Amino acid sequence: MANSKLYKGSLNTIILKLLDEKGKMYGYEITQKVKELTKGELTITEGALYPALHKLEAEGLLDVEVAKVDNRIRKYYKLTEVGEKETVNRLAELEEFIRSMQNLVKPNWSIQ
Amino acid sequence: MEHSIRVKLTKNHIQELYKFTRRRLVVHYDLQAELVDHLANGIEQQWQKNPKLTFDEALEREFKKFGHFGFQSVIKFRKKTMKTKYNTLLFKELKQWVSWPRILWVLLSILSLVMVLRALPQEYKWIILAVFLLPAVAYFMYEGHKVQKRFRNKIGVAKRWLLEERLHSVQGVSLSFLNMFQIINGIAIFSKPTDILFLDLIISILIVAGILINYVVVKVLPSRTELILTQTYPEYKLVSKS
Repeated sequence: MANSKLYKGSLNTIILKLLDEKGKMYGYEITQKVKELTKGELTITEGALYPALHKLEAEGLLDVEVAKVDNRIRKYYKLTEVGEKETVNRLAELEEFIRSMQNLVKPNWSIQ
Repeated sequence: MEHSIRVKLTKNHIQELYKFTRRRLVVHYDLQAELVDHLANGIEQQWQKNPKLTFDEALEREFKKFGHFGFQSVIKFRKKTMKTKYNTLLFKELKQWVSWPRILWVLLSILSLVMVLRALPQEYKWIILAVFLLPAVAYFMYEGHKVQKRFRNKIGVAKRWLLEERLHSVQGVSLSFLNMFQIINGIAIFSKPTDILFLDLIISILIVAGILINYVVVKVLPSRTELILTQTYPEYKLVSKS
């Protein structure tokens, strides 16, 4: 499994990006989707997912919807208007970060 | 529990999961419901891969995924976000009192209080002030106690919601009102006789602000519990109906 510490700071952005693509998702679905997309390389731990979702909700970036599914209550998260704008910003920040890291790790120049 | 080849959980299983979360100190329904659905999804997926797993075995495996501290980090963070939510509600309500037209009443109250303080003889001022303020403190403490009692009576009979609990835990506020006396006393001791007008003004502002905060916390917000819970938890209505 990949070093989870490297992903930790990007967890919120990953969640926002997934919701941007899928519209609305519930907690378990998010963990499975991340696992599927990264072919098992990245696992979002349950202990980190829900605090992240609740924080984004408190910040007004996510809205919640509930439905009764199979004898139980399912809580779906979706982006608010503010959340949609913030997703664009955070993705741009993440891309910038990835570019910087690439420059640091694989510089396209060499002293030789 | 019985060996099961079911892929979907039954109503009884769901009830078991609610009990499981309660045993692990998740006392609020809003969080219980979300965790129950998560565990249920996990168990169902395990059964798809390995139908011979018992309910308890599958549950144990799912719970382990929450890590060493189990649900504790989720509970801790949820409480923190609800505290922020409560403060936002309180701030929003107080903001109305510093905008037109209510600000007029606030300013008039402060001004009247300054005039009264100016008229009182300096040597007995604090005693007279304390005598007049004690009924206000007693009133807020009594009202706060009533609010808490109403909530305590619900515990065990109805579902508990984290924000509802925050709306009803008002015991600290009236005590903070008492702390204000200490602040006033402190200011009075260390101020010079020339500062009296400034001192009277500060004290009047503190008293009016104290009364306002207590009023919002003890009277306004608890009386809007239903509305606040409905707006915060979309599941609130769904559960109340069932």
